[in-house]
Amino acid sequence: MDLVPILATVVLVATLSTLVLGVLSYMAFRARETRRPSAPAEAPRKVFFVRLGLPETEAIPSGSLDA
Amino acid sequence: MSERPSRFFSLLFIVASVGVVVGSVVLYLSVLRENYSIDNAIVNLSVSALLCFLILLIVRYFVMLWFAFLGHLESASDGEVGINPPLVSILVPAFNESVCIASSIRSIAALDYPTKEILVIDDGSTDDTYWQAIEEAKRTRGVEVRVLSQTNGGKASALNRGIREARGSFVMCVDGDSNLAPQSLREGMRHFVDPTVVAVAGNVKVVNRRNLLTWLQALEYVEGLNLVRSAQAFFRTVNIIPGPLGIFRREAILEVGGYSSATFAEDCDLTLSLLSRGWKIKYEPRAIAFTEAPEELFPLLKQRYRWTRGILQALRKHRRMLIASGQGLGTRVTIAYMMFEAIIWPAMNVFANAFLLLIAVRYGTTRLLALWWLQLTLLDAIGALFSAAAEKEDMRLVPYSVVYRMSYILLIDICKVLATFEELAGVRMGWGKLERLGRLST
Repeated sequence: MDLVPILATVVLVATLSTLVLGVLSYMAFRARETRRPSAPAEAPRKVFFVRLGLPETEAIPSGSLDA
Repeated sequence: MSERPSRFFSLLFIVASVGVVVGSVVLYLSVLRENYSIDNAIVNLSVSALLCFLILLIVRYFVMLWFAFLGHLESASDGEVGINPPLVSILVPAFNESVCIASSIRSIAALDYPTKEILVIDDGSTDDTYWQAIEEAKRTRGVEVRVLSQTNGGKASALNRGIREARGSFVMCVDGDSNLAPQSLREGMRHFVDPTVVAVAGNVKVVNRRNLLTWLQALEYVEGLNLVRSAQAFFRTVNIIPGPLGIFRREAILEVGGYSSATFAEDCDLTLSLLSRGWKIKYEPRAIAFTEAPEELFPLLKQRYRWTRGILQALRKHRRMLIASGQGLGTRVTIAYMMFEAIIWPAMNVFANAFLLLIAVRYGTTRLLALWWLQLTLLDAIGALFSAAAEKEDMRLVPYSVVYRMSYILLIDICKVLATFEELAGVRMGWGKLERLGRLST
């Protein structure tokens, strides 16, 4: 029995499935990594200025909340 | 003096060399006898180019095998550390290593080397790594353990902090998730008897051989280290001192400015910085770090993605080494070889497999694909046999070389090629720390 064609078929199937699996698993891995937040959630920003509103007076002009 | 390679190993080297030559000739003759009827000139030219590339690979393997053997012989003949060896500061950077930090400290404290200190640098862990390290430090007897803490700045920053705080003239950098074999430091320090050696790379072994994927990684490590790194060690131009175990002259690290955070492969970056100064780096196969390998596909891809992009970043940073005047031939060859391994070989392997697959389907030349695989598997099997014998490793690794070439390396190379595209395109990336399963402590 000639073993070479059998081996060749095994290699062919294995190579094809590895190529497909390799590309698909890489894409799945990258998709998962992209969805996952890369850094811990940002801490609430400190507010240095709070808009105060006095009844029956003009509103204080708004400014940036960032210092 | 360390144990010399056995006669069995030397005999195996001869068998391996003859095997590479005879096996390759037989396979080539079988190809030449085949009568392919491909009427496309471009396809014929591509097939010829691939076969030439295959011959190049065989030559590469043969040269590697020869120098690896010489490297092993030479490594065994280096001197001994004296009765009053220099103080070595062992640096353990740790970020969220609560599962394995205690076991890591225990294995370092048990190193067979009299003058050492341990510095654990907690890099702003969000788990209880710091407290675990403190508890283990309290339990440790006979060696001073200092536990430092800093806000998270990355591995390079933690190592630099350790280098600054170190009292020894030598530093050994290890990973917080690795365990060391007791003789590692003593065997590694032998090479510093030569004053021109500035660093020694250790040997890394996969400890959790629990499934096919981890066995294949174990084979990859054993083969890569015993062939490639041993051959490089013969020329004192080891190109990567692995994170799990590297020993350095502290002055040398300080001279090149310490570890850099500019790349995701700080170990490769530092090694290239040392090589660019013309300094010598050796490899010690008996300095062993046991590490936990990824047990599933996604964590493995994550690891290789980071390694690939990190190495490419380091290569880009040090690309001038290839052409800059004043660089020795060994350094130029080392960097050129790294570029080949990082960029050309993975791309060629993926291309060859895809191309041979296509023409196999189109022209029925399935045998060519089988030849490609058979030739490389033959080389892998011989390399595995040689490497396993060199280290008295588990011979069960050798049969894995069949699957190794058929699927594993192709899978890894696809990841490398796609990661290379992302690096070239400048896609942003994060550190991507692997989740440890705590296999080392069990």
